[in-house]
Amino acid sequence: MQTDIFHDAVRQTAWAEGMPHQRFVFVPQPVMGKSSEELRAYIDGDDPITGRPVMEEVIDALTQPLSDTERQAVRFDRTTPRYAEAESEAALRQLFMENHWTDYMPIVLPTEERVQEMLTGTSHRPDEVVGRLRPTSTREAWQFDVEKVAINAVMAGAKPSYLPVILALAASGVTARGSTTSSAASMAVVNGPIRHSIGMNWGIGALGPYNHANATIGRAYGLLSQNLQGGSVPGHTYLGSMGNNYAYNSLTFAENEERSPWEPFHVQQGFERYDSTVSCFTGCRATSYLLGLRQSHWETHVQNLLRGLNPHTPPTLILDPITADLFVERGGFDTAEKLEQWIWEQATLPASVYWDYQLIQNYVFPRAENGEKPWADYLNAPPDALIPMFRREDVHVLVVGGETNGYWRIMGCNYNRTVLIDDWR
Amino acid sequence: MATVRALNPMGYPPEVEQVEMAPRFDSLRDKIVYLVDARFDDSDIFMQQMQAWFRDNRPDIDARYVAKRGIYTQPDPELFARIRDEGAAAVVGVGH
Repeated sequence: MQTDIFHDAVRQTAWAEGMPHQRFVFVPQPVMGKSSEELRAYIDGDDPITGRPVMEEVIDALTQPLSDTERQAVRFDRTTPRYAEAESEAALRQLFMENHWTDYMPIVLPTEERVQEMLTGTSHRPDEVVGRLRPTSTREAWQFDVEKVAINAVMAGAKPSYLPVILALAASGVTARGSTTSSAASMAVVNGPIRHSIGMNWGIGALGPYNHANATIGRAYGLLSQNLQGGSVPGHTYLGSMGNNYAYNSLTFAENEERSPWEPFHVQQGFERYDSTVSCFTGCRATSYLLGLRQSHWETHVQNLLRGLNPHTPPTLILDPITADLFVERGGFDTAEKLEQWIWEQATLPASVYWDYQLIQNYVFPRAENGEKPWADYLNAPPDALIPMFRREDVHVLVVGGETNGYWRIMGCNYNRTVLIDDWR
Repeated sequence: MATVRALNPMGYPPEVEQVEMAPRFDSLRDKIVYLVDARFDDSDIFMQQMQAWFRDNRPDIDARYVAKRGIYTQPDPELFARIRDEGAAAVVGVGH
């Protein structure tokens, strides 16, 4: 049983999983939020795709013998042609758009000459396998090599010197084009000496369109994700209901290590200061913000921000150095770990409110029932008891910005992993 | 006319292996059909209503509502084995 809006997506998934004639029955979208009576009406009604009665289709799907078509051996032509050709440059650009290979902004066409030049940015062979990507954990993963990453880097307008960062992002296995209905985007944070050598921005406007490296590395991360995973096409391989403007650049910036009062993020994750790394975060949907930390009620102000987050998506604090210093001054947080611990302690909700969130019902409650900690420990909490909104290990802190003011924000997102860029030089 | 050529930016898809579909029973009369709640967006209410439909319209079929363990992306080997051993068929829903 599926809802009708996912008709194309489930057919495509079944096809890729080797059962192209899997029998589905569709009911209207949404199921969420409907009463028992309304859902019974769906069941008593017609399949919006076929127009046939839903339960007649269900019984038929379970009892009708397999047809000759359903018994046929599956044969798929699954090759990827090496070239794309057209009669003019304009026609070739149009072809790239029609194939959903772009982000609908102008691209640099990846000619062989340009890709060869991009490949001078790494010592790795063009045919070396870099990794695999998929739009979501239940979809098939596509494989790609160094040349394929370089092609997408050219399209994004990147320089060869950025290629090791882009290869590291591709090797992370973390897509920047997740298919989730929640329209989540990704975030990429660069640490270490390469920030200087390729001219990234961690100061004024670092998260905005004001730096070539930040802009094109982030764009390349998005383009390579959609193309190397086999697509990010609305209704098929992308199902974000609203979409997300963050996805144009995947929130790509460098950390302001020089002005942070704490160890750089990659050092907190076990790397050395002299390592160059990129860290991938997913689930970026929304931010909340404050200016500074007031003397009297700063703790309450932070608590209010935290309770505005969805408890399914943990907080990463993105702090201008001015506010990072204020956290040290106000709270005595002389390490990032101490601040993260305090943040985790402040983020609580009454148990009955926490468990009633839709995403907690979908993604956390079933895991708690399975005995997964820490959530299993909260199952028997009294309705009014305050329980943590997040796991301690999911709370993070980053420092970025040019100190024009002490604005700071909380990004609801999930830290996935940090990849060593030096492996891809 | 001369052509303009660029390199294809798409990755390489995996091989597809056919999965055989299960043979069907001619009739479900006096057989067990599992109605599996996939644990997403109120699918429990939906599948329980489907069970009510079977009670009202096909009481000759033993339609059993079960909620799979874990989130919707996680397999539930214990339940799947029970369905294989005891059931004639299963309906899984509601997917998205």
